[in-house]
Amino acid sequence: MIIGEALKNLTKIKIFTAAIIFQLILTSVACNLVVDKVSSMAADYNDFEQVTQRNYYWIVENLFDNELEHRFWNSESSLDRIKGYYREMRDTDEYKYLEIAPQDITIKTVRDGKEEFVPFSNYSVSPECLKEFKISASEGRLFTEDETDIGLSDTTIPILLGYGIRDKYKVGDVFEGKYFLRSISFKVIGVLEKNSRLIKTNIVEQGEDPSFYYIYLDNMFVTPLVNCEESPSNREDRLFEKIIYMMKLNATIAAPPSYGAGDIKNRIDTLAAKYDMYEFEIIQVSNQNLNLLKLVSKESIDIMAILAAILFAFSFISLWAILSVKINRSMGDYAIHLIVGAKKTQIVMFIITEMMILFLFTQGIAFIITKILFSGHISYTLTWSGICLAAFALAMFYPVKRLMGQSIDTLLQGDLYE
Amino acid sequence: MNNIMLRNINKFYGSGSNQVHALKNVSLDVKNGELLAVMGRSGSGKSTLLKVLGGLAGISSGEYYYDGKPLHYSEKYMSRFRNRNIGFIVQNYALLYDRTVFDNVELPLKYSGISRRKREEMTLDVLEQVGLDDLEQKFPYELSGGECQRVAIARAIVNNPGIILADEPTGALDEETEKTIMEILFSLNGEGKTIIVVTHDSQIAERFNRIVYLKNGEIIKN
Repeated sequence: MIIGEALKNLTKIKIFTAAIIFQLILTSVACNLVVDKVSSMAADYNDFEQVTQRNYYWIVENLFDNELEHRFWNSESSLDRIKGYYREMRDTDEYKYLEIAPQDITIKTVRDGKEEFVPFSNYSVSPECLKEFKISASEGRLFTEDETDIGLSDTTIPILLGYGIRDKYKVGDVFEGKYFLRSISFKVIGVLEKNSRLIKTNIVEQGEDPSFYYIYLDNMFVTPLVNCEESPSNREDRLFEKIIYMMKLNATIAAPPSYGAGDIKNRIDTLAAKYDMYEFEIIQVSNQNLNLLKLVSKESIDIMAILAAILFAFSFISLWAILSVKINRSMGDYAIHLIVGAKKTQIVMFIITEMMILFLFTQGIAFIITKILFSGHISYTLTWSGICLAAFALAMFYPVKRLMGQSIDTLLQGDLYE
Repeated sequence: MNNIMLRNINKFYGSGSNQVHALKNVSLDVKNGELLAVMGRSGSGKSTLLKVLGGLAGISSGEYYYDGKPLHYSEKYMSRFRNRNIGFIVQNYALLYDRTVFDNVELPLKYSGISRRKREEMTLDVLEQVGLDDLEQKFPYELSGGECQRVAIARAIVNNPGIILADEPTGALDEETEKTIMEILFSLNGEGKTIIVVTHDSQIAERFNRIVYLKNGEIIKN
């Protein structure tokens, strides 16, 4: 009965109800957009803040097809030495060793009855790297440390889909392709959150300072940069491991301010001597780009926050006013219900139910419109729904309070706001 | 036994310098099955007395008993009494204009928790009793004043209350319709119901068993 009465009351003045619904939906779509943008800008700012508080160093091998390089790789023990060096460089609490390798994969496709391998953008990274840049899965899961350790006979590795290519495969799908020139099966284990990103140094001309920029992973695959401890028995396996480990040595080191370039150089020199490695260059990467982004982001957040506050205040007041008028207009009818036997608690339930129907309906439509208009780029946030609910609650508060305290005679007279 | 017993009822409206003393120490006994008219000039407090009798307006002080039970202690007692025993007919009909005649008359039965089938039966019966059985699917805005008042009467009696309170039930009606409405009320009294009607028409009041006169919120003749 309560829902029936609430629906009857809603449909009583159709134009008025339609106007309220229209206003609520428009306000919800606009305010949610602002909430989403401000939240995402604030998250960006926090990321910039965190990243710019660390020193980043890019380790680059100093080999350019020279004699040293040939001598190193011609040695039988070179792979064992490189693996030992890598393990010791990686396993320390002094800094974070981030393995980030932009390396396309190819996917086997059949076109016109012919098999071909089509390249797709891919980043191969270590699990530590996913943690450092707070990358998480919107569906499925991320790969684990254990999954990065493979044997030469393994034929499957896990793969993650960027949010923008989430429809390409389903979690659990397996497809054939090539990974660092090796034929392999990729098993989809998850989809990344929208706007997942990591930082990468740019490739610079000689004499220029490298700096960071963000790589968004939405339209990319992400695979683990695997470890393979098994000794290769043929040329192909050896080449695979060589490429993998050279990629792993070209790492980015994220260090606290107390651990400087000199400390890294000392560590590298010590380990290079121990494993008879070739030379490495340590490049301190400038935070200039990120600092600039941080500055711009802060200014934008301040402006957006002021705009958002004005928009919210306006929306909140207009919602409160329009809903209050709606409830107030029904007071005469509620008084008639009381005359014929309704209890005041039943009337309060009518009001709450009517408002909840309006709230859920408009939020539902606003959610669908947001989904259609912004096709997944803007999500419908609970923040705005919460603010909207507060406006509804405030609109109900005064009439309900008066309703409980007034006699039926007074309610029959009409306007509670006189 | 007196069904209704009012003792030293006072009713104030507003506050401070705008306060109006609408009822002053009103005491009144109404017996079961009485046909009582309340008369007085505009602003004399007759409508307020009717609203107090029907529990639509609270009292500022005094005592209200029904069948010896005190109702003035709690809004809950009063509301239970109103829902079980009172049928109210107000001056402007107080109908829901977006509902059909049938829906308006059926409404009190919904709040009584009566089953749908029984509700339908009772509603059609009472509509026939007031001569509106052919108008059940019409909306109030499609009816004349007399027909609206009959809908209000039907709604007031559908729950079979013992007491019918009517505030100027014929105030805005022509002579012929007025006669019809009064006949309905008299026939309800004939069935044993207590009828209390507020009117300023002495010709109508003459036909009642008893008349109470009010002036400035006080009963001056009973």
